[in-house]
Amino acid sequence: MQVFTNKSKELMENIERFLACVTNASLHFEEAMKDYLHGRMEKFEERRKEVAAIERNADNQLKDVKYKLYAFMLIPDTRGDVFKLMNDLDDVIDYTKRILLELSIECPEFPDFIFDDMLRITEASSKSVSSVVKGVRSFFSQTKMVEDQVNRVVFYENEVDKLEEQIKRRAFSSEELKELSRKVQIRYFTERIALLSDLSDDIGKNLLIYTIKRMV
Amino acid sequence: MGIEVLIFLSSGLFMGWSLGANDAANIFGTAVGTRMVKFSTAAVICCIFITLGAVISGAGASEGLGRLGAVNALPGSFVVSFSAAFTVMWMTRAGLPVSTTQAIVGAIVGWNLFSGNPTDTTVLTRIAGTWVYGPILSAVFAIIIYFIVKTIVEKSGVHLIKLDRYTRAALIIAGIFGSFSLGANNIANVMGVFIPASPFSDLKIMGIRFTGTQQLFLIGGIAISVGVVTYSKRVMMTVGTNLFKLSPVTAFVVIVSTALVLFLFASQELYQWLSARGLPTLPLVPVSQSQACVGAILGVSIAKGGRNINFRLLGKISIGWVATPVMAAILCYVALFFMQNVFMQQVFI
Repeated sequence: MQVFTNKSKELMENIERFLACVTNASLHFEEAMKDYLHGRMEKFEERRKEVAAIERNADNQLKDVKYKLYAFMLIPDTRGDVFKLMNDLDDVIDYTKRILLELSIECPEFPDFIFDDMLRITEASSKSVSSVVKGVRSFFSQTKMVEDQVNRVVFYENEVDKLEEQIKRRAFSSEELKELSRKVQIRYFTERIALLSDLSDDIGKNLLIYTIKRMV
Repeated sequence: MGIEVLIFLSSGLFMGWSLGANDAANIFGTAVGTRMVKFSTAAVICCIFITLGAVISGAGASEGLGRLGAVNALPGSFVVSFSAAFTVMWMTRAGLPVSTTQAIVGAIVGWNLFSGNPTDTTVLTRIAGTWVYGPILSAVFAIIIYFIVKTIVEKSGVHLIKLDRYTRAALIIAGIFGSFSLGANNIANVMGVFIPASPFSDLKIMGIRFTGTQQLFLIGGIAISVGVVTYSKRVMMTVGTNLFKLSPVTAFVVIVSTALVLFLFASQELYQWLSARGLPTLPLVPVSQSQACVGAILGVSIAKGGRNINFRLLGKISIGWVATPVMAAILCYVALFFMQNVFMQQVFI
């Protein structure tokens, strides 16, 4: 029983650290986007590297979580759900890192007329990630709060969808942007940023099912 | 103790073995099947506490069964126990849910009919009554315990991982209680018919007096333990993974509810406490653990909104209520005839 006590405690700590990584990555992503849009490239690069470090840390935590879940037979009836949940959240961090890396490599230029929309879509996507992390925390201890957090995720995802459409329409109907390649590039990055909220939305939907299964 | 006595006790030992192999699964099936508790842990707990329950608290239910018919010759006891065990085996192979209690009651009635011993209808009605209100009581307990556990878990906001740890501990404690109750209540099915013709006399070891009945129960407890160790793992894995899809927390509710029912029908102390205060008492008779378990599962289903209740299984159990004792009684009657007239053994005095 002592073995279970120690391993349970360690597992709880690993899960908490992993969730903190997801939140941190999302917050850094939002700030990095602001830096990029405002042309503060040095700060942007620092943030990007910070996110890459968080992603590595998250991978280590996730490896420990998976090992402890299966090696010590912890939560045998729900570990499949927890495993999937952690993997899906890991995808969110991976995408966050990838978007920043692609921005760093491709250095797209965002025209002024979509500047505010880009900030707003980033903020809404980041909020959807934060909400889904709160939902996951609730899944572990306060199941009644899960639905509320998932509703928030759905709200932000809808906001992101609206902004995504708006940015694309403006970019493609703009007289200012002459080259198709730039329009396509803006569309690509808009879709990438919106994907974060789509992933959060998928996790939120699964979370509702896991919560029903977890109920006593 | 001669070889003849051992031969006659063998049917009781077989009954004990099959009880250990099958009924331990009702206690630890979900816990072992879902890997919340290791089989070795479950087996050790079952062996120790079933035997303790049998030796310490087995007398009450056995006396209750004895009032139905005191089988007073060892060859008669052998036939009664054998008929019950054979019925259990046959019904299990036929895929019908079966109760060792009902089989032994049917076999005793068969012996009463053969020996011309009148069957006390009051006792029979009381025992048969437990087949109906045992599962109902178990279902009621399950509903109450389910809501208590649900409220505690939801209000406390305990972390999923911590809940897992607490559930493991709770399953082990419930398993101890369940094993003790099973031993106390169901030893009557295994060794109850041998009491009037018991070949053992009282023993005193280190100042502690062991009655012949307790020695008989100890042997029965060991037979149950052998059943647990040798065969119950397979049944536990079946129960835990295929038959009942219970979560570890609801499994705890089912085990405690089942154990409570068995304990209430076995505890002489509780019986005396209630009767001393003029409160209604429960008869001290062996009750079917399997049916109490099914009742508890039904209770959990009702508490969860009444969905997914398997009415076909309930129908099968109802068939078992009638078929098991009737078949055991007929088989016992025929076997007693053969024992008396072919093997020339005195089956009643």
